[in-house]
Amino acid sequence: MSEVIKVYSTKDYALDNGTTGRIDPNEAISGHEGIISNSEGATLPYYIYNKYYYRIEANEPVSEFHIDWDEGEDNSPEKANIEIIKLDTPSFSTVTEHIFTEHKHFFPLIRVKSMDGFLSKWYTNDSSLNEYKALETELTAGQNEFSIVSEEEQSDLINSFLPSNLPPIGVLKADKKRIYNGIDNDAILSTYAYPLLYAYSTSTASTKPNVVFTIQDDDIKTRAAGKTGGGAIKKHTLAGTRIWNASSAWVSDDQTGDTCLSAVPTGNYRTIPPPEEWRLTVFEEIETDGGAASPANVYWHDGSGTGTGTDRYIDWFYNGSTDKYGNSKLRMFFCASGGSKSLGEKLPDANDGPSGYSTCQIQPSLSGGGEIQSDSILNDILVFFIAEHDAPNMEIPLTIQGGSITEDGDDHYMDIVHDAFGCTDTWAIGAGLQQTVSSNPMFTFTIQNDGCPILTQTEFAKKLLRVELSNAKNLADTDRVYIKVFDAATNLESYAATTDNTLAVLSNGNPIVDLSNESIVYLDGTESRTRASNRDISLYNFDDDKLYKVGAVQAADTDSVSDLISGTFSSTGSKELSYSFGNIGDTLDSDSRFYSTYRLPRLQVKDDFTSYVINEDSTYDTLTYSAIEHFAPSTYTAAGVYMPSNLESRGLLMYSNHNTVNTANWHDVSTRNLNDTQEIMGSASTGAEGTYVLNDSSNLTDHPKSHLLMVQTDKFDRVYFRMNNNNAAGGAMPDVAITAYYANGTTWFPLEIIDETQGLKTSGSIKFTTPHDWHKGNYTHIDDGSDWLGPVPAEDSGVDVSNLWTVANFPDGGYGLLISFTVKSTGTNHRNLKCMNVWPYNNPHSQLIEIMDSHHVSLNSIAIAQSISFGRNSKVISIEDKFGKSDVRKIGATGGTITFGGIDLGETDDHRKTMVGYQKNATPLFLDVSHKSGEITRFFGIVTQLSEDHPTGLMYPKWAVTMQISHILELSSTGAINSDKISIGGALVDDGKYLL
Amino acid sequence: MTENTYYKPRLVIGNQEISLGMSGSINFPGSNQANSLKCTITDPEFQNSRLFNKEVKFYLNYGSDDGVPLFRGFIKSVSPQDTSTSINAIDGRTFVNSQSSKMVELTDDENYDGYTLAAFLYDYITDNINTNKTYIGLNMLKDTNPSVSLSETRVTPTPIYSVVTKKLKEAIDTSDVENPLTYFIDMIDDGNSSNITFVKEKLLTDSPSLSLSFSHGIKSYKYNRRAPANFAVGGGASFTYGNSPQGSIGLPIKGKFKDKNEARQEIIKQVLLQYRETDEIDLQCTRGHYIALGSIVEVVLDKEDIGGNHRVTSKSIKFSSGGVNLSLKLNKKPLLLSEYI
Repeated sequence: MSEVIKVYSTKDYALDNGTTGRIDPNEAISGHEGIISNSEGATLPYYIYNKYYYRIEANEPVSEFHIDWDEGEDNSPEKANIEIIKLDTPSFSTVTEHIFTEHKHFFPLIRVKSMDGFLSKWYTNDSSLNEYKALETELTAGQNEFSIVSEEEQSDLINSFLPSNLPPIGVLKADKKRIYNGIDNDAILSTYAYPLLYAYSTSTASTKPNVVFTIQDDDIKTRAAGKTGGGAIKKHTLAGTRIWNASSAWVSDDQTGDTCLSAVPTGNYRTIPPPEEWRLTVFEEIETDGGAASPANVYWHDGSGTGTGTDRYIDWFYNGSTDKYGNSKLRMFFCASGGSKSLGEKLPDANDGPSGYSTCQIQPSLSGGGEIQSDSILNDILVFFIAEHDAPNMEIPLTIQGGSITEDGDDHYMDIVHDAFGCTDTWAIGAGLQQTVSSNPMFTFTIQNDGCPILTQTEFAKKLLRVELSNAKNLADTDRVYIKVFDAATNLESYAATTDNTLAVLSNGNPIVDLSNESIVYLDGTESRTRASNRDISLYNFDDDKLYKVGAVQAADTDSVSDLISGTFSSTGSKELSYSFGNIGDTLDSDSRFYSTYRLPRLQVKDDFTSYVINEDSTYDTLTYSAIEHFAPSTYTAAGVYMPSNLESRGLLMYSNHNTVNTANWHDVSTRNLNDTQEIMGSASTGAEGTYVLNDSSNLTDHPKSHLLMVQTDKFDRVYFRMNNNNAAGGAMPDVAITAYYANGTTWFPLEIIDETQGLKTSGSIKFTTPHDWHKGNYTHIDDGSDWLGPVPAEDSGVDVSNLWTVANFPDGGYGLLISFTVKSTGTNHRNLKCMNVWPYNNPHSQLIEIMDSHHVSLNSIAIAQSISFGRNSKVISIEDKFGKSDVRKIGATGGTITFGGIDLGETDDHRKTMVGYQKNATPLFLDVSHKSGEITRFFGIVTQLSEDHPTGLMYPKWAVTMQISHILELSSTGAINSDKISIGGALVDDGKYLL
Repeated sequence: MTENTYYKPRLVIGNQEISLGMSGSINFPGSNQANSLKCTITDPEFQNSRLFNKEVKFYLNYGSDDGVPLFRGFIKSVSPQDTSTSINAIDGRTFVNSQSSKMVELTDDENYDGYTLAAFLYDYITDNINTNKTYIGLNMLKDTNPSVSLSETRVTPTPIYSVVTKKLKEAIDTSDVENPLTYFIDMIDDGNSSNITFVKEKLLTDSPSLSLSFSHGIKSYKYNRRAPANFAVGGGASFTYGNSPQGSIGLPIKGKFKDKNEARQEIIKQVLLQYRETDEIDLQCTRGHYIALGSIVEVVLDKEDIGGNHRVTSKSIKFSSGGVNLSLKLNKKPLLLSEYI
């Protein structure tokens, strides 16, 4: 008899009852045959949420087929999911369709109703994995007259179903999408062994304010004890004179060095010791030896090379390093007979010593009387090392400055001095010293000075919670103080550099930075979904787009529908992020504020699928990670990963730069795009153009020389550019003209775009409306393919587009987008541009976050000629009794506005125009108002209204503004900050703080 | 608009972006009702465009650019005026949830016996709705657990959405008897289409997706507190919960039960459901525009006893050139198990 239930991909195939279109059963689980599942060599996929057609057969004409799909809570009549197929005329077979929505092993139960109206038993597979106890207690072997279930035991005629899983879907939400720059504690990389913070500024102010840090520290002792809990929250004050300006190199050493005094926590330093020195002492007995042939207490190498018998040698251990031969030990033999084995001929020989040893041999010099002197042996060793330690054959990993031989009474010794600073962790000597036959040591080897610096360690920084200037008037209003971090390393020998990561930025316009809500975005991935209803999301991985992975941000995974985000997947579905600007890579606008930049956090999730059962063919059921964007043209195909064809995705990212217009030099940057240390466009540094330079043009109106080609299998309407420019803040940037084109099937058609990268000055997106005639094709659909008439040819030099955007890689075509760049530099500042990666982000697993500069621009230089007016108000409720007495309760403080104005003098410093600019751009501003006591109130806010009055009679026009106040600071007459950020209506007492 | 403009809404109808002035509202009413967009465009000539059944995408762009539209739907009505044109769009469920949409008749001969709810939706929408274009995405469809079978379900011509929502009431996760969790239907956009799916309520003990306080997001609030039922009678059984400090409040239970014990078990669940959410909160907020229905929101109000975690049950957003107003309703839907039986 043929199988009772068969699975087909279409109804026609099921009716035909042939082999075409049929999904054959296999032994997906060892010892359990008759399983319909994905299997090796099968061409038809078998997945949940796909409709298949099931042909059910009976051994006689029947009027009804009943099938319990095993999808209910159990198999009881009340909870089972039973389909009843009633036939118009009795038949041997029927075809029905079904869609599974759970990811598990289904064992259907089938019964029929005879033409006489009698129901058969339920028939099902006899697998031990089959459970139907809610319907009936498990059967014993053989048929049971009273049972309503019969297990088919012979040939697995009733198949079971094991549809493969579909991948989950990551959904990322953010509580807000615009934040101010704050404290980026991720800048303290987890790889740092001893991170210390410092303040860096190029300010030329004669007096700089102190910088007050509130940090959670950590210390070596805690780490040494195997604990990672971190230390205490403490406040540290860095003197203004210790703000580093890089005019002189960072000094790591001593109590007067920068590491001790300019890095926070302070007090960490090392003291430079004298060079490492070892003393090899030989005993007096040798001196009195009678002759070279048989010194009393020295037994010479017998030439056997076996290391036995009377061999005498010293073993030198290079701990941790190896020599030319890959050995970490040196066995030094002594040879009494001269001539045949001179010193120069007997350099370390990997073949002579025991495993792991290199060898050398020394023939001691003899005195005129043929005697060996102890100091002569020492001298021979010393001469050997000095002469040979860096010889090509030897390459002992120790640099020797020199040494001396001393004969001091009975003591004869040699001092070996390391010629570099620091302790030679690479060379420890002495463990292998052998004994004489009289069991007395022939040599002793003692350390005179280990060369190790003396470390004084207090704590290191674990998390910066708040940082502030002590004075908000010392600096110029355009100055910035960057709070940076460097890894001093456990031996405190490392240096700070201006390229170190930045945690926060301070200025007069933003003198207090803390972990406040307005600078933190709370990412939530818990809306992510699985497809199978019996699966849950188990792990989350957030890519925070900070370029701190120092390598791959995602990597290919041939078991998934896309790449995997690098790093550890965690069971925590949310994450807090904050970002900071830095002194490298960010650009200032004409108000000395950083242009707003963007970051694109992304999420990938994993469901809790491991392997439903012991599935030997689990490689055909592996889709457990959600999809993310990628540019792999042929990795994630149904054939490559084993997935339904509708989950296939292909992409291509190419970049062309040629200094001759209308000439291509294409690079495939699909792989570089995955690495946050490799630029896909631009120069790696300002020192050289580099391979991927954005070519300079004479005029901004010139034909573009640089082009980025993106191809995706799904439409997209926004592309995020992650820039990591090389410019110093305040440095000039080139002008960039950006144009875009889409493939409409015949040519590159111009595309209207919105550029939010400020011409590649910042990270951001380029957006457009999806063209209605965007053609899904390949490179041949641009003109005649081989000869694009667009802004750049498909092929010239480099990797030809015609080799990658092909039918082979994109059998169903792809949507092509070409973005072209014309760069007009001043000098070589086009080398400042560097783009690390690009991503389409019209998807639910990405969120574009805008980071705004929290620096406020000073209005103190604006000539004000009208009264400055403001009010301080509280929020109160007044509960009045019937006698008119009130209980007035303050329930909060209110914000407010400040108004002031000036005269339109129209001079070189056109203050009216400046204020209009601030109003138009909603520029954050601050204004100091001095009181009679000398104290100052600093108002921070945005101009929301500006009015101009043009009187008659040739009087000067006036202007007036209303500035909405965000917060204020109270300063002393000298500028010392006396308050926290408070509202104009008063301070809150229940505002959270890390350190009270 | 300047760089510092905080909110930059975009409306795209078909492939055309509407750059004219506009105002309107988006309503996410919850309780399985379709989301809708009402928008007034300050251009009377816009009425001349072909609008009916056109796809509408609305990006709120609140703070930064949205990766996916906050709302995706299809224009169902147009109201031209002398100075403007108003449109009303409803999400993809408009094709399955009204008398004018496609309907299904389930009989002994033509039925979906053996199908679960998700399988039914998948099959029906694939074969009958998404025939030439994806109107209702299915890429995020996830079934209920426990699954609900359509076996023996027979209906006269009915919108399929009505069939599904009625059957959905049977899907209750009672693995924790004291915290029964129900399902609702939501639409989730993946950038290409808006996908229908079943969403299980989250436990109130789950990590909140959003924390709101007066200093962080709450503009104002109000709430209703109701005294939950503490005893119930039905099916020949009864149950009294606790000592009734808020007074004795009863709940009748209807349904078919196998025996008194089964009735009593259901009564206990219903009474405990009553205790689950007793505060129905309305919040006016400045944060949370993108939060999904069913998400957990932590309300931090030290001096009020509505502080703690709550579920988002509906959301509405009004937008205009003057700004954006967000209203969240938490726990607005008192759950009665009787609605699900």
